[in-house]
Amino acid sequence: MGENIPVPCEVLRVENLTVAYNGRMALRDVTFTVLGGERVAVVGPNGAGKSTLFKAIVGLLPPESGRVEVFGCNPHQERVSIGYVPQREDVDLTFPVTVGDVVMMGRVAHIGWLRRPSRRDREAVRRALEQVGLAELANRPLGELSGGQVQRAFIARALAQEAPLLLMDEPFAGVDAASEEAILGLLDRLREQRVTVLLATHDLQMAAEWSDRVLLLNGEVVAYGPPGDALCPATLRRVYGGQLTVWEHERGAILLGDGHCSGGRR
Amino acid sequence: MTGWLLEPLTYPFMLRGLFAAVMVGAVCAVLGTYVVLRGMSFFGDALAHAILPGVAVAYLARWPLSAGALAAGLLAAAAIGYLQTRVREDTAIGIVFSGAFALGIALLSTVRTYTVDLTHFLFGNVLGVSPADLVVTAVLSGGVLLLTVAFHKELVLVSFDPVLATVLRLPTSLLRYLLLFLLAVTVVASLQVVGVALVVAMLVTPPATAYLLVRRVGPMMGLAALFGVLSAVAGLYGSYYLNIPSGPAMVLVCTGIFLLVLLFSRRARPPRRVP
Repeated sequence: MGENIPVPCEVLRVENLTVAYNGRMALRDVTFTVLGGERVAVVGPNGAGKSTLFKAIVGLLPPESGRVEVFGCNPHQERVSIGYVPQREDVDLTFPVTVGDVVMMGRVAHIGWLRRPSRRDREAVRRALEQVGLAELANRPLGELSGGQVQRAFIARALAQEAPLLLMDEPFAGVDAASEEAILGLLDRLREQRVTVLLATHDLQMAAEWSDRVLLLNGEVVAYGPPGDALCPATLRRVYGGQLTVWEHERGAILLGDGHCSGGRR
Repeated sequence: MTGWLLEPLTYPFMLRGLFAAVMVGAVCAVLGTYVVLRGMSFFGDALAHAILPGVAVAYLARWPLSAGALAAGLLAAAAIGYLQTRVREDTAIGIVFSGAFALGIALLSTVRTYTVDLTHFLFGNVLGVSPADLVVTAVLSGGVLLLTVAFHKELVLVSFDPVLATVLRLPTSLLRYLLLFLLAVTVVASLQVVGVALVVAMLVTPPATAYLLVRRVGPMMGLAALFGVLSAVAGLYGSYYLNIPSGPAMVLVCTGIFLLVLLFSRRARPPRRVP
């Protein structure tokens, strides 16, 4: 029996994307493509347009010009589906929902109008909760979770969409150690499942170690490629200027000291 | 005791009042759950007051009151929606609400029986529900409940997280307008029973009471409906025996239940945002 080697197909293509946010150009002429199963770290300082890029990809912000194309690798999937985990600050914890309810919301489009969740939907929710290690908290009200658990619940919701493309905006910002570990473990399992992941982070070390490709952003694409190429002293100085100390190792490896640590908050 | 409860029901007008009160108590509480969760109580109150000119015009022209009320309610919702693009939302609501209410009172003051009519519109007259009124209330409440149940998961989603609703390609603004429309119809259906001045209490207080006790939207709606029906029926008896307008009687029961639950429920409000 011959092995079916999957041909890497294009999952996301962004072409000449220009987006205005709060009356100023947040992204200019951004072009890049992502292949199926790739892990892409989107890196840049605060205000570089990382969140804006994600919002434009999922359709929350209209582009001034250019376009975004999302392809499902599965030809039977009729609906374009993107899992999106926004930054946690926008969550209303007073809303009376359980963790399971929140995750089920990721299934609303699958369930369809005028229908109730089927066994398949409940199964998808259970699996998603297991993947982030929250299975036993399914019936817990959202307002009783810790910050890291809330983040994991929202990741589970994106997983329940069963989307071939997942966008995570600063998933590690303000997260406890247990949740960070759970999310990192999850990212590895997603790689095995060939889910394409774009992860916005200000953590250069994490980006360098974790990703297949790095998109270095500062209002425009400064570099896009394997971490070793994209995160070279020249590009980093262009983006971070004096905020960053760059040491060059004899063999070309770089040690990076992140000069600012306020995270991805606006 | 049973005689005290059953005696009023030998009158057909009391029986009609009872049916109307039960329906209004339930539909206000169910829609009111969204009003509470979305922080729309000022909007609901404004909408209720803004239907007064429509009621007045219909009354003067001898059209069906609910038709005038519905037209005015939708007009007010649209006006608030437009003004929001020019001034702050609560400012827009304040302008439309007070302007329309003043117009309604001015129109009604041209009628000779002005004070009696105005009192009925403002505070409800559940004992004056005609068979035709009852049919209108039943159709409107039934329609609202049907649509609320049919689009439950979409309405909850767009209320909790409009971002996800957009990402999933749901028609978010259509759903938001559906909710405003349902709210307007609910207010119109409640007009005769509680009146425009106090309908916001029937919308807000039962769900707020339920919120203190449960932590899921579905049970919150169910419990709110129970409190709403209970208050409406108790208020109806209060109105009959104490000879006070039905609206204040129902609202006082509502508020009493809320205070009781508040006293015995220990549950604190969770922080609004992740710390």
